[in-house]
Amino acid sequence: MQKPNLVSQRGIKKDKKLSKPQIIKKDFFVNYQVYIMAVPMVIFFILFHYMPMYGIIIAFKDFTVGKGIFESEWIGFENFIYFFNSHYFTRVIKNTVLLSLYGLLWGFPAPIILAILLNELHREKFKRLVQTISYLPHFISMVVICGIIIDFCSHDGLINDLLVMIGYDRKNLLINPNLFRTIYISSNIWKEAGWGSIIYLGTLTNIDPALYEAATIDGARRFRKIIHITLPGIAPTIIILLILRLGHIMNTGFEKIILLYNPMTYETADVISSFVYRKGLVESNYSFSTAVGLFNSAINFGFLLVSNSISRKVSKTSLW
Amino acid sequence: MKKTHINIWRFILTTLLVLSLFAGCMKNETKDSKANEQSTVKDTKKDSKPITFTYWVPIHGDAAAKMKNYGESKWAEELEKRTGVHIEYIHPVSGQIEEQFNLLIASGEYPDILEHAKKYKGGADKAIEDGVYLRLNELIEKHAPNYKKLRESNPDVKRMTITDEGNIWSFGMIAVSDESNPAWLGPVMRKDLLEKFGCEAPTTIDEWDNVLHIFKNNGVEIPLLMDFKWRYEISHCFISAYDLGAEFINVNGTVKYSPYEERYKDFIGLMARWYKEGLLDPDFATRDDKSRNSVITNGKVGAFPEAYGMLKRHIGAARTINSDFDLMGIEYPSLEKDAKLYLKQKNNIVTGNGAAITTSCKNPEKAVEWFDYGYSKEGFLLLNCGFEGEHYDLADGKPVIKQEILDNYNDYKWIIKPHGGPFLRDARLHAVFSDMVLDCVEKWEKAGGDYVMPAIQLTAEESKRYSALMTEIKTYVEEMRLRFILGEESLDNYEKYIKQLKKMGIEEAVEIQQKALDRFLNR
Repeated sequence: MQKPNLVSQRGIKKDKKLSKPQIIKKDFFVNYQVYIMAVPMVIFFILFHYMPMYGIIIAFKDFTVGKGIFESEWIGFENFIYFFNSHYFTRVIKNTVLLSLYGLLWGFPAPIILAILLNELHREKFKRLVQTISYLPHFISMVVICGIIIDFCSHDGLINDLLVMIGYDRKNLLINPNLFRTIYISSNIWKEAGWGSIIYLGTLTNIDPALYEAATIDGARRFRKIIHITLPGIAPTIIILLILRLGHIMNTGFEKIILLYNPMTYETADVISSFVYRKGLVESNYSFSTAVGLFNSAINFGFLLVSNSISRKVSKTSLW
Repeated sequence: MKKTHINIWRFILTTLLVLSLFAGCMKNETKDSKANEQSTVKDTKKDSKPITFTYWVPIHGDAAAKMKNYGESKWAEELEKRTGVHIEYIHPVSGQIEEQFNLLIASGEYPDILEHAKKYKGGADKAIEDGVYLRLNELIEKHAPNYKKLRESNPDVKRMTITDEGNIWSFGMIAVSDESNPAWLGPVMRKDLLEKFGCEAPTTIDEWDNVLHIFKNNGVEIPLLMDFKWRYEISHCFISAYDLGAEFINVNGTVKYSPYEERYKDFIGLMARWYKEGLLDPDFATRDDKSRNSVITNGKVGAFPEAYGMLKRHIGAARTINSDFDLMGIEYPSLEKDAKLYLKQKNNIVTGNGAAITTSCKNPEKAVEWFDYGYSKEGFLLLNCGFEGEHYDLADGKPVIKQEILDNYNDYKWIIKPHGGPFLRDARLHAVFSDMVLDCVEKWEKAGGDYVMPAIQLTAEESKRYSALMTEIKTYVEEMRLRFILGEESLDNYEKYIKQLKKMGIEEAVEIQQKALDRFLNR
């Protein structure tokens, strides 16, 4: 993916005589439309992403709504210590990381494979049809999806009907802790693979058709072309998305967990966010939830930094 | 020259584009200000009614289907006529009640009256200390004769309407008497199936065992539907046979945590056996309310705990499929025949979320007087029965609800009278008490309510420690309960489970509850 370079976009040649502020000044005059269009987004980010950040101080406070954020008493790291000492600390961390890692392992390649397969289809109409059908589930509400999953996995559900045919016993699948991750991740792939493939399909259209023609003349078959042209063509996009994804490694979709888990599957399904939900929101212990959220974000940020620097060294593609 | 011309056009166009992004917000603002103007106009129109209170209360789900605001209802109109007080109801968006309540408190600008006041973090004493709620003791003494009399007539009411520190802080929903506050949830069975298979209604656990097996052998898919979530937790179904409840119980002044007791093992053992024998729903751990209702109406279920308010609905829905479908209430089962039970689903005599008057209220005396009307005889009749002659008649001084209202209760509910709120209430005048429901209540009432925990209040310090302990304990108890029942964990490991609970600090949590109960009993 090419970085949008505003300076080179509209004819200012990089002139070594100009200092940085001067370049920016000149660029502003040439590209002012772009700057004006950026203003609402900048305001949006300042208002909704940066301003509320001061609220994280309640992680170090004994927050009560009556007193408000600034008046509440400081308690230092008490919330963090409590979380680390919690009986379930190791379990929720382990579950979060494993669910994310497995999700990454199976879920991340799925849209890439789908995009490549779609790219190999030559009948436009059929391709469009498959594309539309595959990204439709993305628009179904999570509650409905989980209702469907619960129905399918129940004692007399569809999956059990199929399993019985090949000689298994009927059993509710959602009360088996060993199956939870499989159900969670595979349903995620079903829901999001089509949607995720759109960005790859977009990148695929940027690959120069001449490369394919040249390869055909050289006698390359389809598979060769995929390996040597298609994949390298979308590699930068893959890497950027992978880095971004790694920055969310400690975040798992909490609505879906809450809707699918039950005490029987806590063993594998209880993740940081669901634990915090039970603890923080249901009992309105905001300070504690904030502390855990902050801890989460710090680890995520660490992952992001590490993966970015590795990628910069290895493949020269990076976020910054 | 031409180029700058184009550039100016570009400039204008992009600015317009950006401005159009804000257009949405601006329109709303003008609308809002218009709405404000309108409401001020309204206020000035109502100058003849000099006193207006703002009243924050979550709108009841049933009411929300019929009106946008309680102020539109007939009872609110009539109440305003009689008391000369105009109430401006403010309803939070449903589903975000907790957040909006907390935001409201955090904002520092309170309405005059806050219902839902019980949810103040740290309790009512803290709210008074923080300067959010008013202490009402003195005001009630002077301005609320009916409420005062009511409190003094019943020691339980007195205890439940005051905090540990002796503050009266809210008006609650008070039941006229014990009989007017019957058990509203309990075991229910398919009457038609009992008759078809020639069974007697079971009263003991052994008889239940027998009947459920008969159901099973005759092809009833789910003989017993138990969810081990809220219905079981509040009804204490089956576990009351072992003199225990779902969670904390009050055994004559001593607090016990049921899942930490020795006999809890027997209850879990029974459930595990029933599950193994296929008497329980194989999907109970993942059943939500919707699928629960659907298996009941499809006639797959033999017995289940249910609230009496739901029976009519189940029967109505099921009869479209099977015209023989019928339900009946069953006594809470005991181990020995006619043994006394100590727990059932029972509300305390004072319930509701409490309506507190805030420090923003400029005329608290009048507000207290307004509330007091709901505890007077006239107020009682209006809020429980509606309008005399139209909805009820007085016979020997007792209200008799007209048959037409009884038959179409759901159409009238919330319109001619509120279903609940801070007033003196008689549940019998509100629910649809058909013969079947009366029969249910009579059977459920055979169990006692001795062990029910009263609404105790933890101090801020205690509640912090308590919730720190209990979130983890609850997680563990729920998890282990299911593991035991589903046979994933052998009951031989019960000792280990008890030890783990002890390690997690259950005894400290019990102690906290005990202290709070002691304070409550000493009020």
